[in-house]
Formats: sequence, structure tokens, C-alpha cells
Amino acid sequence: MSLHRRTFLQAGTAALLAPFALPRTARGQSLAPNLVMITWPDGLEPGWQPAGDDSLGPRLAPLEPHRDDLLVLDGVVGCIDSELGAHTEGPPSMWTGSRRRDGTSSLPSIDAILAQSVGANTAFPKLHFGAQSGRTGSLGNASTRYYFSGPGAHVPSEDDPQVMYDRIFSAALSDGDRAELERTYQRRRSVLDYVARRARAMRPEVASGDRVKLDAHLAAVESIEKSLERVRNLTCEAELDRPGVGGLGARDLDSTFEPVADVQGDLLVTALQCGLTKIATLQLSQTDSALQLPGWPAGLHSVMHDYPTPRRIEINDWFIGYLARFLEKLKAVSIGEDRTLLDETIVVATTEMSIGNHGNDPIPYFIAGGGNAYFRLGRTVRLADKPRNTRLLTSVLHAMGRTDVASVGEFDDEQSLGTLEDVR
Amino acid sequence: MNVIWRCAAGLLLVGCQAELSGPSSGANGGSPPGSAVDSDPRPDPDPTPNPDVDPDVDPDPGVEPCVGAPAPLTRLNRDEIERAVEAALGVPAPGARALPPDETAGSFAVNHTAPPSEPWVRTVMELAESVATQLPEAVVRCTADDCLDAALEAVARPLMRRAITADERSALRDLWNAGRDISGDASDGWRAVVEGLLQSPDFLYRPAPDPERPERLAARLAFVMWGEGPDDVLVRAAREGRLASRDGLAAEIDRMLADPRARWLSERFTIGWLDLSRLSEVTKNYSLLRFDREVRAAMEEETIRFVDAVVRNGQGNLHTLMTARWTYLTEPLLPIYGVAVPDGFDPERPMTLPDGQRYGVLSHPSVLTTHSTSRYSSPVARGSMILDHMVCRPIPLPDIDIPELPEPVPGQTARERLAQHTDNPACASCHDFIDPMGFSLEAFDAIGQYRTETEYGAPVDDEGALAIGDPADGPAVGVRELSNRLLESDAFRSCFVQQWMKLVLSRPLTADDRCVQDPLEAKFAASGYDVRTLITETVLSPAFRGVAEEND
Repeated sequence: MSLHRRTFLQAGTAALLAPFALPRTARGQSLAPNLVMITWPDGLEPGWQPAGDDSLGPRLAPLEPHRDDLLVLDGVVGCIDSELGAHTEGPPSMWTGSRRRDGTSSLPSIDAILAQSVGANTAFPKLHFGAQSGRTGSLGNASTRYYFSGPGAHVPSEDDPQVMYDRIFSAALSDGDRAELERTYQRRRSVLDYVARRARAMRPEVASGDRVKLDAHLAAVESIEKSLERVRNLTCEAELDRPGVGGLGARDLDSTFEPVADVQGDLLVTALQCGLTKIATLQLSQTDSALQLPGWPAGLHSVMHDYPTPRRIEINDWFIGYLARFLEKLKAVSIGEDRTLLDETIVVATTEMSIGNHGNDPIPYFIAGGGNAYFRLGRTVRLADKPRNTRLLTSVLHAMGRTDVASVGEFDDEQSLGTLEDVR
Repeated sequence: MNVIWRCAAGLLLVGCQAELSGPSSGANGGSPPGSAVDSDPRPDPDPTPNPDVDPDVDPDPGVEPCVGAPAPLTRLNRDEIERAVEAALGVPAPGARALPPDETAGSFAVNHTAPPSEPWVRTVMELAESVATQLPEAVVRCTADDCLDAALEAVARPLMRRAITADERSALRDLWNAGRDISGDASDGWRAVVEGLLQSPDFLYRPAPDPERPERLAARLAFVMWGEGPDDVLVRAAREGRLASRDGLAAEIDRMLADPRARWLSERFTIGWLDLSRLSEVTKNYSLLRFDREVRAAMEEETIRFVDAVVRNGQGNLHTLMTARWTYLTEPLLPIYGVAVPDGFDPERPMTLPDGQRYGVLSHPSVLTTHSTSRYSSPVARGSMILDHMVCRPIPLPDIDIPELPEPVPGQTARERLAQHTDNPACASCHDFIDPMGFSLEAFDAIGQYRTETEYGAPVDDEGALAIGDPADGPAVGVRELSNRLLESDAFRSCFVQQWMKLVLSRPLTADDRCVQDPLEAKFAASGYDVRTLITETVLSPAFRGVAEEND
């Protein structure tokens, strides 16, 4: 089924033509902006930094149209202790501040912290979009873990845009047959109630150390139930087709990466536009990436690691170009006079290492959007005192309204604690 | 330059010396200039504690009852969900492959520790909904109250893998009614029931064995042997208490190993032991022969069938795995083996290879192809695989993606090309263990063809060695001498036992498993290294049955 205009309708409610025509508080949602966390693998080419304030320089050239909406941070240091951990410790620490060194995290990532507060009353407290984020290389699954809901609890991203589309927007798929949608909703509710009762019944039957698994299962079921309930009550209008790319067989092919990454960006923007979520991550490949786009001489990781500059630049430019396209998508959604969805959305884009050779200093950070409400945009900030990225994570939480959080992460030195004042 | 950088890190040096405390590991101490020495060895991405290195374990037999580390509540992996759904309902469930990646225990996919993520639970919901739209007539036949209890029991029992209680049946009846009432259609009752059963922890998790609940042991056995729930015969054996006795359990093991479904066990072991999971995605930039999906699949199939024949069909033992000159060839492989289609060629029958080129699994194209670069044979990748998976001594590499070496000079051998590994002491600290085993396999190119001249025009130099700090260490020319040395090596034989333990017990090993491993190694040796005996004894071990046992 392919419909050009998707309409979320509650029976008996008129469609709203503009997604934000209704004050968001009327939906019980937070007034905080949206947050999008974008991660790409294996750093950038050395010398990516803008040379002066007049130009972003050759490596960031695609972002030039967004210069006024962009804050470039040069000098933030990552969470790993040595460069050797870049591939297996970089991903689990970069959004959490964890110091665990066994390929997982002792803390939730900031998306999970925000999902419980800022995102709690949305249909999807958080969404994890991916493009070949689960395609493993020689390190196996150990290099694919970027987001965590709690200690050791990795949350994978969904790499199939068709699955994401069905999951997020299926409430509108039968367009016109609200009765069928309602029957699906009712059946799911009965089924999930049954599943939750079975999980509770099984809990005392298993060893105490294993109960955390059933607790997590139960929490997931409850979260899905809430999500279904909220989708049912939402109204939104946006244009969106079910993606033509996706499906099991297409998952890890080099040829599908680019279209999938673009479509996932579209779905993400529409989910924000419709108020279906406020917190989303977008994972492009992963740190031990075998991805090889046309013109790349080998897999991404090998090239960034071993190849001379001209070959690495192609990869650098692809990801910066993607970021520019994504910002353009947010800007294309108008939400009122002189305001776009980008003004309502903070985008934090980064990578788990500095350059392909595992550097930890500086990690490139790009912050875009948010309408200058917290982050002061239109500039490059050089941070001479080398703050750890945990301070930036804390600043992001503050920008999202979580000013109650004093510090993120397990580091307790001055370099790592508190917010990063230079970004304001 | 990159090669040097990777090797030069002090951590690596410390790591190799800690892991491989052999005679040659004491050399090259100290750290190169500019590197940070950290006393913590870098953790394995999937840490699997090696009982060999724990000095605190006192495997004093006969004093402490031995049960091994506790069995965790295990969440089914992708393959198990797919197979179990099809076995119980007769509906294919390819959507299971869309589930987020599974955890691993060493080389094997097992969800032993991590809690489920919300995306996993959601994907299971979507999978269950898709399965429930395709229910066969046999499931949805009952549409009225009088047959409902029996019909619910018939659907639920294989998915819950036990008898259901009156309360549970009543809950299912409520769910059936709720589903039917939504549309008035009885088939929607069945849809709701099947969706509920497939999403229930009763289906998705396997609890630890418990002598009071023999059905748990039955489920554990069935998933290990077949990757799906128990059949009626096994259910009856559990109900009648026959699994509690050694003989009763052994009889079921024999029966199940003989069943074609037990190929699952051989398949999982083969892929994990030889690290072949990437074979289906391997690409080659340079090959004079056809190398496509069909060839890769044929390579994988060859090795699985070979191991399956040795393991299950009583055609051999560990020695056979490493030394056989027969294998199962299919047509896509004949050019790689350089064999013309023989008269009366029958791919179902084992074929004895003509001369002394091939010798056991290490000369299988699947192994040689997976552990090569896209162009060249890779002594480093091959040696690392053996060290990691066949000797259970993972090198704590910072970055195991093998860097492209400089383009070879014509006439250069691999040994000359890798000279910097031995010339630089920091590199040598690890590569002295890795490369020699790889050199022994130099008579095979990047897709496993036998050769006498390398791809860069030098005569093959396959004078390698086993140099892992084992009494069996020594020079090894070619695959034959390497395989023979490995067979003599304690580390290799012990690793083989550990790999089977991880697979059968479905979890990583800990120091507490020493008291299980030692008797298994002894029984394996006493049997003449018969793999079937090893599998049977691992299942019969207290760690699998969850029953403490005094060692005798």
C-alpha cells in the first residue's frame, strides 16, 4: 500500500493541517526541543577544522549553507583511556561517559536519560535509526554497541527503513479503515497484557540474578503498550511513502547504504514533525566498518586507518555531505513564521574517534539547530583546555531542560565534570 | 608505518606475554619508545575467561561436589527462534533474521547474559504477528467452546515446552476470547493466542535445569542438539523420569544425534570452531576462478558435511578432523581442488583426494578463503584464527583488521613480505606466535587452491612452525606437519573441549568450570579423542544437567 498523504486520525477528530498548530503542551509533551544524535564511524580526515571564522574550510564545505545554524567544536576529548580502545570502548563510552572497558557500558546513554523525562509522553520516547549499524566486521558485535538503556543493556538501532516505517507510521497505513486499525490495536493490547502477566509469573521461578532479564522484558512490553496507546491518539499530517529500499536481503549490501541512510533521515524528520518522538539517534555504519561505496578503494575502516589522504577525503566528505543533507531536511519543514523544524531540534553529530588511527583528541563535534536557545550557533569554538565530552553531554542534557543533572559519566576529574560553558 | 604502529603499542606486548607464557615469550621485554604501557591486558570483546590461567582453582576431585558455573536463563537466538517456530507451528519464520544481533559465548551466538532490548522485544512482536497471519488449518480448526481446551493445549504445549496448568489454560482461553470478540471471527482468537505464545517468556527463554522439572533439561537438550523444542519422544522420556539417569539421558543423546536435525549441532560447531561466519560475505578482488555466492556456499557446505560425518556418523575422531584426505566435493568446488569431474561423480559420497596436497580441515577452501585477504593468502589471518579459535589463546589485538601490507615485490615470499614482524621486537612479541602457523599453510592461495608458486611469483615457502609455548612446539612444513603438531598439543586438545563446552553449555566458561573440564578432557583422551564421546559426556556432565556430582 502506498499513500502519498498520511493522516493520523483519531476517530471523530478533525485532521490538523499543520503538525504544530496545536500547542505541544496540549499533548502533554515537554516544551524542550527535539534531540537528534548522529554518529558516523572512524573520525574525519586530519585538518577538518575551519581555518578561520569566514569559512568552514574545504573539509566542511558542504555545511557552508548551514553555517549560521552550526556550532563547530574543536578540542573536545573522548572517553577512552588510550587509543587502543577506540573500536570497542569508543562506541559504548561516547554517549554514556562510561569507563567500563569490556565492550559495554555501565551507564545509560543520554538518549535513554532523556527518554524517561523529555520523551516520556511521546508515542516513541526514543527512536534508534540505523544504516548498516549492525553490519559486523572483524570485531563482530563488539564494535556495534553505541546506545544503552542501562548497565550492560545495549540498544541496537534498526537498519531496515521499511521496518521503521511500519513500526512508526503503521497507525495510518490503512487510511480510511480506522476500524481495522482499532481492531489491531485491541488485539495487541490483549496480547501484550498476556505477555506481561507471563513475564511476572515467570519471575519468581528463575534465579535472582536472571530476574533483570525478565524485568527488562517487562519494561519493554510496557513501553510498547504506551507507545501503541499514544500513536492511537495522535493526529498529524505529513507526506511520506513506504520506503522502496529495505527488506532482509538488502540489509548489508554496499549498494543500499546510501539510499537507506537518506530514507532513514526522512523517516526521522517526519517522526519529529508529527511529534511522534522527541529523541532520536541515527547511526551510520559502525566503527569496524566494511562498507565500501563506489570509488572507495576498500572498506571504510581500512581506508580511514591505512590509506593516504586523498582516499580518506572521499569518506570524510560523504559523511559531512550527509549531515548537510539531513540539516536541509529539517530546514525544509516550516513550523511557522520564520521558523523551521531545525530551530526546534538540537542536532549533535560526532564520531567515536578523532581520525582513523584511533585518536582521542580532538573528537569532532557539530551542533546544529535549536534556534540559539542554548547553544550559540554560527561559530567555531576552539577549546584549549581540552574538556572531556562528558561535559558536552551534560550541556546537551541542560539544553534539553534537564538542568538537574550536574554531570554525566564516571570520570571525576575537573576536565570531565559539569557543563561546557563555552558553548553558550 | 601503520603495521609498526599497531604492533608497537606496549599494551599488546604485555598482553601477548600474559596470554602466551611460552618459552619464547620472555624475549623482547619492555615497551617501545613513546608507547603507554598499561598493566591491564586489553579485554577480549567477548571476554571468555580461560580456566587455564586461573591459579586459584583447586580441582581437588572427590571433595567438593562439582556442578560448574550456574546455567543462566538463556534467551533464544535468531536461528533458534526461526527453527522453533517452524517446528512447533509449521510456519516459516524468516523474519527472525531481522532480530537485533545475538550475544556470543566465545565463537558461538548465545544470549546468555544481556537483558533484551526494547527493539528486540518489538521485533519479536512484529515477527509473531507475521507468523500468526499464516496459521495452518490444523491450528485454527477449532472455532467453538467444546474443542477449545484441547486445541489450546495442542498449540501451547510445544511452544511452552511443558505441560500447562489449569490457570494457564484459562489465561489462554481468555486471550482467545478477547481476540475473537474483537472481530467476531474465531481465527482472530487463534491469531491472538499464537501472538501471545510467541511473545511470551515461556517461549523466548530457556530456564536453568532443575531436577524437579525434567522438562527443562529436555528443552535444553533439544535446543543444543536440534535448535528447536523437544519432540514427543523426548517429552515422554522427561515425563517418565528417564532423563534423570545417566543411561536414560545417554539413550536420548544417541537417538537425537542420529536424527538429521542434529546436523544443526555440527553446523554451529563448524562455523564457530573455524570462525567461518564471515565466509558468506567474503569478496575477492583477484581470482582466476569463479568465486561467487554459490562457490562460497559450496565451501561452507563441504566443511559442515565433513565435520558432521566425523562428529555424528562415527566416521572418525579429532585425528580424522585434522588429517582426513577425504571430503565431500560438489561441482562448484572441483576447479578449486583441481579435480576433473570423475566418472560416476556422486556429491553425496565422500571422495578421497588424489595425492598428498590436502590434509584435514586446515586445508579446506572454506577455512583458507575466510582467513585470507581479498587478494593474497594471509599467514597472519590464518595464524590468528588458529591461535584464537583452535588453541583458545586470543591475541589481545587493539585492532584485528589486518592492514594492507605494501604491494609485494615480484619474487618475494610471504615470509620476506612479513619480515618487519620479526625484525621489530615489538611486532615479534605477538607475531612470533601467529605467523609461523600461517606460513605452514602457504601452499594454498586466497581461495584455497593448492599451489607451488605464490601469487607474486616466488616458489612456495611453507616452512612454518607451532610456536605457542606448548610441549608440542617445533618446526612444521606444510599443513600436514602443522596439523600433526596441533594434534600433539595440549593447548589444542584442551581448546577443542572448551569449545564444545561453550557450545553445549551455551555460555562462556568460568574458573568454576575447571572441575567439569578436567574430567571431560580425561574422558575425551581415554576415548581416543572420539568427538561423539565428548559431546555425550558434556551433556552428561553436572554442568549441563544442573546436578552436583561428586567427582570420582
